[in-house]
Amino acid sequence: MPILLVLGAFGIGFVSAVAGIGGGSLLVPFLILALGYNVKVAIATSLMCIVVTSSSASSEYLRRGLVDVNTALLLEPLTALGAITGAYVTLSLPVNVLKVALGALFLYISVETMWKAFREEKARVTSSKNVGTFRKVVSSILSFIAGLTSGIFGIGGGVIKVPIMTYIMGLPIKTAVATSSFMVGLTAASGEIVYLIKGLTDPMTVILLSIGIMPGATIGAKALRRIKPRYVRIVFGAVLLYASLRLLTSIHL
Amino acid sequence: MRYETPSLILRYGTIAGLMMAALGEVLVSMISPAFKSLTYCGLGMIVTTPMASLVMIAAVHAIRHDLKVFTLAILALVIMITATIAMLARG
Repeated sequence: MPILLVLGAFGIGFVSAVAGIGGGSLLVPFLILALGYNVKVAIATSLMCIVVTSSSASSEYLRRGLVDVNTALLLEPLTALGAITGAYVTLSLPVNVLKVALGALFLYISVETMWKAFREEKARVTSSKNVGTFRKVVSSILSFIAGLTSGIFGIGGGVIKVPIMTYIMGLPIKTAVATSSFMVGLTAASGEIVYLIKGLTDPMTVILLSIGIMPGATIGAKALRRIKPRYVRIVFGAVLLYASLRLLTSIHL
Repeated sequence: MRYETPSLILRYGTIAGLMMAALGEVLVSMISPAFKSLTYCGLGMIVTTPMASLVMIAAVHAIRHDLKVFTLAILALVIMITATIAMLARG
């Protein structure tokens, strides 16, 4: 089992770094379905691993100047605010309707992302400094919604943040991936503190998973420089497609 | 813009936290369960590393008199800390 944990974590770390996500949507099912972990422990442990993945990948991205800190800091406060609101309003919303809406949205974005990958569309801008005020305002509002859905569904924000940065702000896919990776770590860290204080995190599993995640995420972050943007889009589109199918199949009628 | 120091904090903060947690687990299994606190100190270090990196980014921009990014970084930190306290208070 320890070898399976390390190997699985290596693959998840690599894909997460290349797609700009925390990896929660991959880690939680891996821990619950493949290894039989309790749901709450799996979520708490996964959140800690998201911090490790993000820190390993972001370290490389920050060093190479790939993270657009202006964009990250513009979107992060509203994402965090949305996450708190989401955690509070969870019970009063028709969750199935939201799952259908979000699942359909993810499905559309994944198809669109892969379509663009094959058509090789170029990014409109190279830095947030060139993004207009209207687009910045729209992106900030959508970041709040991203945080809201993150708080409601317990999913990582990366799958929503990358499309906001590429489609609304028009940033290049690699910048969006690096910036999203940095932001995901910040959001996950504040959530994980609560789980850690409640004692729900399994330290041994975190250590074993981190042994795989750290090299996986670092290699993924280094590989991002060499991988063509179209392949990054394909990986991200595939991850989004998986997330949408998970959401749509989790609906209880 | 390259951020060398925040990058180093992220890398070595995570590694140091993991090593401390691993050492704690080894000591718990070999000597005494009292060393569990060392494990949790390590995990705490991992969790606070991204925020420490953000503080360093804020400091870098403060030194360069870039008040806009500095303010945004501090605002993000305040909201994240408030969010954590709110979630803890909720139970």
